[in-house]
Amino acid sequence: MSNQSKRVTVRIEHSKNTFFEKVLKFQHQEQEDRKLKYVLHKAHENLRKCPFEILTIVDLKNVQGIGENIALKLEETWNVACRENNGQDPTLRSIKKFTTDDYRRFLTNRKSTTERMKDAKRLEKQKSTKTIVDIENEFESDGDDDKQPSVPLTKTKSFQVSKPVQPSLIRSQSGNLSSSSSTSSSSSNSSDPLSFRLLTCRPFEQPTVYLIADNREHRNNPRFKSVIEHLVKKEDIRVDIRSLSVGDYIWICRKIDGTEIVMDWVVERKTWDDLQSSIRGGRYDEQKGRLNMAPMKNRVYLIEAQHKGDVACEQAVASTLSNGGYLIQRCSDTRDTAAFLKEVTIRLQNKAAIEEISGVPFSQLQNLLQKKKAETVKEAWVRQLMVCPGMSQNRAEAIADRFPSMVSLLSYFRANGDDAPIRLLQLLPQLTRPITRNLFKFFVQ
Amino acid sequence: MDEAIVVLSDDDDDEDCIMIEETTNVTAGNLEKLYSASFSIVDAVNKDAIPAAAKTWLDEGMLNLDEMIRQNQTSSYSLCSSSQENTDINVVARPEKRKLTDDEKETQKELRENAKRAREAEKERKTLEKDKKKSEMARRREEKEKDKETRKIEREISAATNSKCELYTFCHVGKTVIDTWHGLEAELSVLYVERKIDNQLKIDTSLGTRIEWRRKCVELREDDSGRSERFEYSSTQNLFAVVVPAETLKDVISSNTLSDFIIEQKSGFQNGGRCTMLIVSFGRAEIAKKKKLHNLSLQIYEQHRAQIVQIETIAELALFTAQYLRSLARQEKKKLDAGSDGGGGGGAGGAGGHKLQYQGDKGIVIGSRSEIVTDWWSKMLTTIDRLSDAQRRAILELIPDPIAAIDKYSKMDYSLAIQEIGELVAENGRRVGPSMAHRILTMLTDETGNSVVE
Repeated sequence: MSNQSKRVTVRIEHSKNTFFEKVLKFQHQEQEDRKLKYVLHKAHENLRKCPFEILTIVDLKNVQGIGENIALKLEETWNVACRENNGQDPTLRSIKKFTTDDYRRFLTNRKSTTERMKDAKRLEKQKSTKTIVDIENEFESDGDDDKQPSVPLTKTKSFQVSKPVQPSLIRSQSGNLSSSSSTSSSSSNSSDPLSFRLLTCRPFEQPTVYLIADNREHRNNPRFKSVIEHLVKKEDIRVDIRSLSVGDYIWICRKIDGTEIVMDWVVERKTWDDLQSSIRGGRYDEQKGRLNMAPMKNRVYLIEAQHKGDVACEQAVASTLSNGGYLIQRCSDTRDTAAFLKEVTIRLQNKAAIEEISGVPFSQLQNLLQKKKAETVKEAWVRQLMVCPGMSQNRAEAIADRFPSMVSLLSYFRANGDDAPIRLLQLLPQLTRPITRNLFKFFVQ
Repeated sequence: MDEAIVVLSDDDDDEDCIMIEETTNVTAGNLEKLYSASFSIVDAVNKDAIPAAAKTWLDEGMLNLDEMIRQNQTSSYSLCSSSQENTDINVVARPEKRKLTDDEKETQKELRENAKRAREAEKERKTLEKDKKKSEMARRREEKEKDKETRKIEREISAATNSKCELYTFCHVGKTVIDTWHGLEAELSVLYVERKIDNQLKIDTSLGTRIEWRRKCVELREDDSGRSERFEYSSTQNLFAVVVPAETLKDVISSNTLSDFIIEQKSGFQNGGRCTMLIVSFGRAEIAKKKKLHNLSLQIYEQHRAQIVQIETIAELALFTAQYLRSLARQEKKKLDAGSDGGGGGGAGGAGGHKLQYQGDKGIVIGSRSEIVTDWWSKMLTTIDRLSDAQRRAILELIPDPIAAIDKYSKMDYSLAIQEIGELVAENGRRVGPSMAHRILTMLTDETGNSVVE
């Protein structure tokens, strides 16, 4: 009697993930605006690749390509589906049976509650504006206050758990999940009160140290594993992926009640290509500015490269060290980077186990150091204009104020024909005749 | 004595009489003198009268009158001619010239003295005005020189911070370092000459194996007299390096005495307080295993603000000193810029505004339009973040002319355009990708300028 074996592939499907994917796909098909269509396509693809289960709106926001607005709308759509299912979560089987008419109905019913969401969002913004005033006072706090403010519980999916889960912890986590669900549900209706003071954590509070990696981590070479992929294999550290407002890697100390305190280390990871690109685009100064405003005292500038950089890059690194006091850490590859991050994590774990940790809440850090708005076409156009000989930044900005894109300037040149350089010179006297002539030659002649 | 008026006509004659009268007033002080002379001619003088005689008389009289006026005398006289019996003119004799009285002499003397005093006063006033004007000009000249000197010092201070910052920063290399590594001095000299900072390299016998950077600071001060003066002093920067052979550092690490070594070196650094120490490991030896090295780096950074820098060649060491000289020289300017931006205000306003930087070459202006367009477009693509050179070349191959691409993609469907650009494969085997394709396409098709590209 022969003994045969067979390979079986198991694909795990989560109900919420599947539901959101189908909603995004439906919206993508229904959408006519090509820009929004692309945004929805990107969100759908990233959600489909997401390896963990979506449980709360926070998890949804952490997916790249899904921002605040999309996350809110998806969550509300899910709530509508739950209401239609007698308040119960739809099962995976029922989700797969939903038709396009069902999704259209969900989206339609969502519109009535979307307005309330917008109102709640506006209220939250007003409170955020009010709390910004207290930022300096918050930083001036000496941290001696023993009162622990109420902080909303934030549940996020971690890649690695060091210890096996015990039954008592299962019940505790279930309670946390329930609390998280209720908190998330209540936050959808009203904004949460934010706390702006230094928090402390003592060893008896059983803190857990997490390494938080930015979800936009850059990977140069697809043939090699990313830093996160190397970190996931480490069994003795905990790693989480979130959208960070400052740095590429930070560490948080999570207390047993869910409070998250930002620890004193931050790492900014760069390759030589990234560094050159950052310097040219102006992001280098912006990132340095935000890092300097960050409350972390220990700042690490991690250079991931096999060899020395060119003179300009090395000069930038020297300036980073001498002006900002950064620790310049050179790593050869992603594996070495992961090893370094592991050492930092272990060091902080040991520190948290024996010392009192103080820091700002993670949510406060995110709010304080939010990145500036994304670059617009006009801003990119200003830099492109500076390619023209004799074009300074002021002149480029003057042109961009009147003609905010390449298309608009092209339309102007075509509309005015051969007289366009003279008319442009009359319109913008700060330009010179050679500049207008060269621009005309580039666009039309 | 009253002034006499002589009547030159008979009592019975009814003919009219013409009177010629000249009066001169001379006023001096409170005294008023009246000088007058008169002469009358009767119309009835017959033709036989001699005009020459009459003229002679009149001229002579006028001369006498002028003389009397110059002599400041008062007199009254008449002309008389007895030879002309047939005439009706009755002229009295000329009065004699009288001498001045003592009072008149005193008065004249007083007048002369007053005139003299007036002249002296006027002279003195003019002298004072002249002296005042001269002193004013001197004061203005002095102020101008002070302002000039002050502006000169201010320009020097500004140059020391901005354009000539490297010339005011010096690198002091310990003599031991120079003696230990042969060829370093020559390498340093060549590099510093190339960078035009040959005078900024100093070899210091008191530093041992350390390298320090010092800044020459210039200040504007006022002395006791209020005059601006230039004040110069040297400031040691809060960063120094210790050059250690790699083998030696390896031994120190193995013996767990690196912390003691750092403490010892820091205690010898004259700029106390918070400073950064760089331990330059010179050589190719591996000083420690990766894991231990990571842990050690974290420890010495957290406790001592020290770092390990690995350098393998003399050229790298020379470049190391020059690059830190440049970064420290520009540190002051960065501080001033940061202060003016106001970016440190509690973070409420986010990161401070950044200045656009275009570090590439400017586009060409000589050549055909296609050459110019290709060159400019290639340089424009270098300004796009996260666009590698390989991707840029691939995009250039597909889109050699952005103007033509604008026309093309404005009429093309968005999805097809994204697919066309995103599916491009660069020479390194990587695709341009939909994200970068979206950015390129947005730049080429958006007209409002408000669309987000990043």
